[in-house]
Amino acid sequence: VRCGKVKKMLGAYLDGELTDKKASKIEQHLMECASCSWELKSFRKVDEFGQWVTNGQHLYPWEDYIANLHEKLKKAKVEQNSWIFCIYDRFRYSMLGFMAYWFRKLIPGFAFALFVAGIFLGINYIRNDTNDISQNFSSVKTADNIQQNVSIAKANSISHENQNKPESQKLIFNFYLKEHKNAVIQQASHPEQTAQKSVEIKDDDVLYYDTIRGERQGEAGLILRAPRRSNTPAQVSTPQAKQIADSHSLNLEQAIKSVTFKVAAPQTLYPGYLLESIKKLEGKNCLHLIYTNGINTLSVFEQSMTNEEKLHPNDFKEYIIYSKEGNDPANIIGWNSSEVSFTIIGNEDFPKLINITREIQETI
Amino acid sequence: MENDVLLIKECKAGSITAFEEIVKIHREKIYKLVYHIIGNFEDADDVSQEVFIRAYRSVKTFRGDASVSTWLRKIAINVSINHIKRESKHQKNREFLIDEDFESLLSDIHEIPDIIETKELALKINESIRSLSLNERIIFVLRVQQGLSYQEIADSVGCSQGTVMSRLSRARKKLRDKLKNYIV
Repeated sequence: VRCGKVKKMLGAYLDGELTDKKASKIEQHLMECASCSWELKSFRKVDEFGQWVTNGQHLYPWEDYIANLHEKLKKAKVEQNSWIFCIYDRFRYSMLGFMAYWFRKLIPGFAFALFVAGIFLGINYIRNDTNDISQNFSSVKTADNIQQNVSIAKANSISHENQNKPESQKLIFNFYLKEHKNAVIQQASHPEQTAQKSVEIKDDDVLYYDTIRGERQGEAGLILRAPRRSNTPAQVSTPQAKQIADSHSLNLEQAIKSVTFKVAAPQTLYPGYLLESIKKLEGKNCLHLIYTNGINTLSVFEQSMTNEEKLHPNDFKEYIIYSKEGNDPANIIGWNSSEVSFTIIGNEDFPKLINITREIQETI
Repeated sequence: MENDVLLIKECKAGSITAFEEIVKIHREKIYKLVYHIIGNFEDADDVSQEVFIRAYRSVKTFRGDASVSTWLRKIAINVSINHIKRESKHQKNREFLIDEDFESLLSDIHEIPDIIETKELALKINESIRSLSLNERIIFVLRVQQGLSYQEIADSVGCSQGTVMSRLSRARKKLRDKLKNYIV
């Protein structure tokens, strides 16, 4: 054992705080090392000095000690029995005192949380204030005022340069409110034209209208519209917009029976989405499958393209993939498969959404 | 120990006599502890009594998790530290009084070890102990003068055994350096 190590342990050795094994090693070293032996001896001497100055019981004034103390104790007892002390004492040791103690401890935490929440809300407020489109969309409440709000949204986001073009050149786009509002206001491509066009949305264009989450009834949800073929009249949907009240939840078995096409409804979708509910739009050959991963929601719309709604497969082949960058990127992918059109809307990025389309395709 | 428990029960019922019995059992150790932490007799008398008054007032909260002596020791350490902090402004004025007290003490000491022959040494020892930092002094007093184990010291002071060991080692080295002329 080295001297440095031994010297560190000499105090503990002197106080008998070392294990027998360590103590014997120290003893062995001390027999060989004069320096450490002197160190130990000096510590012993210091202890002796320290003990010596405490000796002598006669130092203590015991004669009057108890007598003096007795008076003080009596006084303390009187105080303790007084109502003020009782209240104080009870308060101190009661639940209230306990809570007050913890409240005092938690105040800094609360203050910090409030500070952080304030900053967060402030940032959100500023962002919302500067985002006109968001404001417009949040004001959409029911299908009755869709037209008005859609117009505002259009005015804020769509180029007006081609607004006066003939009907045949106008494009209809998929339009999604609230949940995935960042993904909306994108035009579908047109077979003949790749450049963006101005758009015009009418009530007739609304094919499906629903909220993504059932508990938020009344809020604007999804409006889907199939791209119109350039040379056909815009009669792809019923004039009246369908609302949440017109749809109802079904189990899978009921859902399969309720539509004429083959339903693709995988129970899980990667990454981590579980099928939460299926809704059928009353009067439409259309299902809305809602998946959730606990945080985000993914909507899958399945519609027949062969029934009376006359949604021709061509209507959907032009569904394009479009997205919006930002904090809440929502992406939409639409495609058609034989007689069914599919539309997925979700917060996942495109690679993931494309994987999901493959998953759904595999179940068909 | 069992006697302590019975006495504490009576104290909780409000008996001053029972508490005075506790005082009689523990007063010497508490008085010594207080004296060596604060460093003068005059205040040790008052401060040690304050320790017992505080103990009496809070006896209802004593749950018996630790022994009565440990409980009193903790109170004594806290009261002494508070006293030192309170009086720190007047400490310089008290230097003379302390030495005077100590000198009068020495004249009465009967059991002087062979190795120590002079008052001068006793004064030097006292002065050296007082020169230690408060933390070192408390631990030195608890170990050397009160004879507590490292674990008991750690429990009383509220630190780890490692801290006790290092502070004690520092205290001993400082004292040795100050008293090296007297160490043969």
